[in-house]
Amino acid sequence: MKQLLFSLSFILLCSHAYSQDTTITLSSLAAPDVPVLSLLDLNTSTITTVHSTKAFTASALQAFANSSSAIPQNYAVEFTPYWFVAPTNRTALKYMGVNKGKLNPFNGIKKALFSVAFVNSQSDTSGNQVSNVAMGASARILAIYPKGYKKQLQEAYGATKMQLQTLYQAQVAAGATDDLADANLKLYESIVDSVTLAYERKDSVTSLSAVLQTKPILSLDGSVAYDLYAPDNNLSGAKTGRFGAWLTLTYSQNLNEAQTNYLHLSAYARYLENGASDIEVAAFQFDRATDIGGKVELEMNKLKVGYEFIHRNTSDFITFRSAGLIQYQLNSTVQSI
Amino acid sequence: MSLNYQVKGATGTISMSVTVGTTAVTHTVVSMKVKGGTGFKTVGASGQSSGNIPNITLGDARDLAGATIVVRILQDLSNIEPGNQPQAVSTTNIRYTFEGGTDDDQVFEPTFDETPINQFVNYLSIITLS
Repeated sequence: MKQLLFSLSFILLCSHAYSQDTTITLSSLAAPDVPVLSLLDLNTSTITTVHSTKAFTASALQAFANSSSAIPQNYAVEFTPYWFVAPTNRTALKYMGVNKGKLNPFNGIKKALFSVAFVNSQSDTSGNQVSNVAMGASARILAIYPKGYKKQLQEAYGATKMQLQTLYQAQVAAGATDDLADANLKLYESIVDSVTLAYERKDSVTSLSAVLQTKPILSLDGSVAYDLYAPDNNLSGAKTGRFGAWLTLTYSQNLNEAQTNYLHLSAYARYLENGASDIEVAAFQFDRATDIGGKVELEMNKLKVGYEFIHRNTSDFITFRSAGLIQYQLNSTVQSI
Repeated sequence: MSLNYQVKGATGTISMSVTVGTTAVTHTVVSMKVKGGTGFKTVGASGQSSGNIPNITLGDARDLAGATIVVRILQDLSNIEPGNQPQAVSTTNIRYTFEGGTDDDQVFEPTFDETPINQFVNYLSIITLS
């Protein structure tokens, strides 16, 4: 998780659910960022985010070292392989989805988030220890932006490049010349830092980040996760525990020039399978389930008002959920540790 | 960071290129001062491109012994989500490729320990030709 949103949700404006022996939980229907959390009913606070191969290796080694068995004790990690390598052919425009002058609708795939979790728990039925080894991935598979977005992006990119040239000229004008760099590196660095800091304090904020806030007209998000279930912490007897696949197709209609108000229409499809019926949890009280649903949502700055419906067809029962949602975002800049 | 490229004894044209593999918006300027010269003169800039400068002709090897090259790279990270900006800095891959010197081609892969000042990062390399 890169950002945590403090959200206040007032749920159940018009909630109504019907089922034969269970109800669908009120967890989000959309494709999850960290699908193993959804698969194993874990909390987001249990996952460690690593940003490099070195950190990943250290984290994994520690988890295995602290384990008395072959399977680490309650270890969950997420990572984006894109940030593990440093090729020389990366550019800012490619990162933003513009390659050879064309907007790449599949740009989100390269930024796919992967997650792995090892969780030990007690079986609901036998009381024995069971281990779950789960892995998952999620990505924005497709994003189609409004007409004119590419032009806006390229113009904002050009403006940002111009600002960098202005910053360079300001550094030189303040005395941070190449001669000074060659003669007195410390003084040069001191001037460069102070000019850069002062430049930031001016109202020279790039519009690039504002353009990047534009939501795609059409987006497709997908997640998949697989869980290997090992009774008595014994990997040799491992079998498929749970499997989940989520797809969310969203159409977003912008309603104002400032791009703060949107009408979102989403369609959901997900498939869930529980191969280990003795470790049932709230979201997996069935062998197989197929969910089809949708959501209509009005976004006005930090306020979101929506209604969603989902139909669940399982191997054991049929149910549905109908709910209204109001969500208000208190803060969007709080960073996770 | 100080680097050295051997040109003494070479007789051809010395050229260099700068490659910056990065997700950040980047501006690169290369300047050179010949031995006994009065000051640095810009010999290459990335302009509107990605921050790369593919081919800079520095001059005849016999005139360049003792010259100093300064490479300044400025980056703006505002196109990258705040949570990913540290990774953007750590995966920035800078290479200087020199051609025509005593040992023929040489690629420098300098490492930096730069801390962003808000969304900006400044890199500096000094390369001497000897």
